[in-house]
Amino acid sequence: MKRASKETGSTNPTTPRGRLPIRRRSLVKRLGLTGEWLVTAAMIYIAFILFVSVFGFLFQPYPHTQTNLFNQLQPPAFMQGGSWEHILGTDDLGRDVLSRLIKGLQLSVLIGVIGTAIGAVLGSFLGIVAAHFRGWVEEILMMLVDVQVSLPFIIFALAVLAFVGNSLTILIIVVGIDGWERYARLSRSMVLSANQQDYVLAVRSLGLSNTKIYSRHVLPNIMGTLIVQMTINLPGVILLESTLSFLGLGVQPPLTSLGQILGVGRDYLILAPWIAVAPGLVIFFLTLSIAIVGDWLRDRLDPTLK
Amino acid sequence: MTRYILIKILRSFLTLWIVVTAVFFVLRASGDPIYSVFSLGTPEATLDVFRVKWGIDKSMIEQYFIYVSDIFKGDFGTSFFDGRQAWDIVMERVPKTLLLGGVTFSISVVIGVVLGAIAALKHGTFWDRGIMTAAVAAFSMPSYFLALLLILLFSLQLRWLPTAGASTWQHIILPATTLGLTLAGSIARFTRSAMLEVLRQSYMRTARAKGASRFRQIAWHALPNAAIPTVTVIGFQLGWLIGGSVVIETVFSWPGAGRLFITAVGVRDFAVVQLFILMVASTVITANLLVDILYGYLDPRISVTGDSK
Repeated sequence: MKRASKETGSTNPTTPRGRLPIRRRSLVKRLGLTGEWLVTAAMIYIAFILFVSVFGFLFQPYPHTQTNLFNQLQPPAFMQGGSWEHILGTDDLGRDVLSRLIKGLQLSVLIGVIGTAIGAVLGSFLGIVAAHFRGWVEEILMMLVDVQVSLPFIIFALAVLAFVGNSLTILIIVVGIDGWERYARLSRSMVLSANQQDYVLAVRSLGLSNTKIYSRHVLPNIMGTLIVQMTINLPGVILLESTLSFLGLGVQPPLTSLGQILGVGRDYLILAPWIAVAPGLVIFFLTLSIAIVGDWLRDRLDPTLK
Repeated sequence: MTRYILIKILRSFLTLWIVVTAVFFVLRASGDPIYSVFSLGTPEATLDVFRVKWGIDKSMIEQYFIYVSDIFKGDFGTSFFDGRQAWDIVMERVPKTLLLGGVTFSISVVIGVVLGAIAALKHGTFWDRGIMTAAVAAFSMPSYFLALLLILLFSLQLRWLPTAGASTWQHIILPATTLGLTLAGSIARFTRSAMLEVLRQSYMRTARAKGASRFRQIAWHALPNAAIPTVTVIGFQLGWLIGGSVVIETVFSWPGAGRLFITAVGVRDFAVVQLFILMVASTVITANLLVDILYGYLDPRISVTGDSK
């Protein structure tokens, strides 16, 4: 804000006829990204991935389930024996790897985003409830946080998916539960301190209902920290889904996700390494980019979270 | 202090009890366990014989109380598949997992602490940024993908290392490196921030003023003080390490408890799955408890009555 006013101030007198100068600062400058080429690259990659997962079906060369048994394990175009018919080659059933990648990316991103949202909403809500009621409600909820921390989540997820059964809905819910305890802890401690602050005392003495106090006044104040936490959790959720699918307990055919493609590629590592390497690189750069942007956001918006 | 520790221990047992109970009911809610062994067309008479034999003819609540009281007698149930005690089945796999975990831990601590310390000493330079970017990369890398890349390079291209099994000492190199590198990323980050904190302290200036060599300053004065927060944080990573080893043991066919868990989950072997989860939860809970208590001892400035995290 400060910098913006200084800039308009200095350029204003030179423009004729008193019109406001429309000298747009570049996006890089406005976001404070000068010199942060790594963060910039990460953001571009994330934007690209989001674009592909929403509009990818427009460029998808083949249906992701279309098999061609005469054309199995064909190498990518840039390798010897490859052709431009299948830019990233074909898999064990002759399916186009690029098409499967686009389709798989779509589902991986979808599960990651919905899963993160579920965890954030659930955890923040329980944290607010704990901080509001205190007493035994808080004790029980914090006990549940301890329970969640005591069991590596992937072990719980594997057991539930194998025993209770597997569908896309169950998978999203299970993946969504991961990490709720972090939001719960965070929102609980922030609401506890907010309840001591003057603005909450003020609106409370005005006689506002609890729902209004929390939704209109407290939540907007703690939102920034929660959003940063979501950015930090998102890579973990994407990795969890991909790991479950890699082990064969996540996304089931005919649906496909990046982890599942990798799981298939593992069996053809000698003959056709591209089946595993292509989705692996996509996931790796995606989680890395989100982590870089998340760190950057945290340092800029919320130094207390460290 | 004693009261604080006692409450902590009590809470730990309560946590463990909730985990055991929740897992018992979630697994049983998946339907009649008899069908995890027998197919649907099996005559009812045969099924009933086995239901009585395995004690699953009783109501779920009864089964639960029998299960819990058996635990106190040291009986963790029998596997539906080979009729052996679940305890024996899991325990014969545990040494291999401990071996893998130990080597992984050593690798990650050495790499993580050294790189983290270098990053802190060269704060703000190219080295610092490079190491920290590598650390984030290591942490964002799906461990199974790193495993496949290492297999591609060291086993299939160079043909130096074996990929599956555990018969020679070379077999542990790839799985331990895969897990170790991922863990080293987070250890490097924590070491760096702990070191940065320590380097700012006045005793570091004193050490410099009295003419201690650069090496002595770092090894004698800085590292031991930076170790306290780092060690506690490493303690909290144990759960992550166990979860990761389940995946890595499967990729490398390492005959440890993690791979047993994946197999048992696949065939719905109740007793084995329950015992494995019980053991993992008690390990993590004990580690967290120890870290909590250690923290209070090592750094008395931290109030023991406040929230520990």
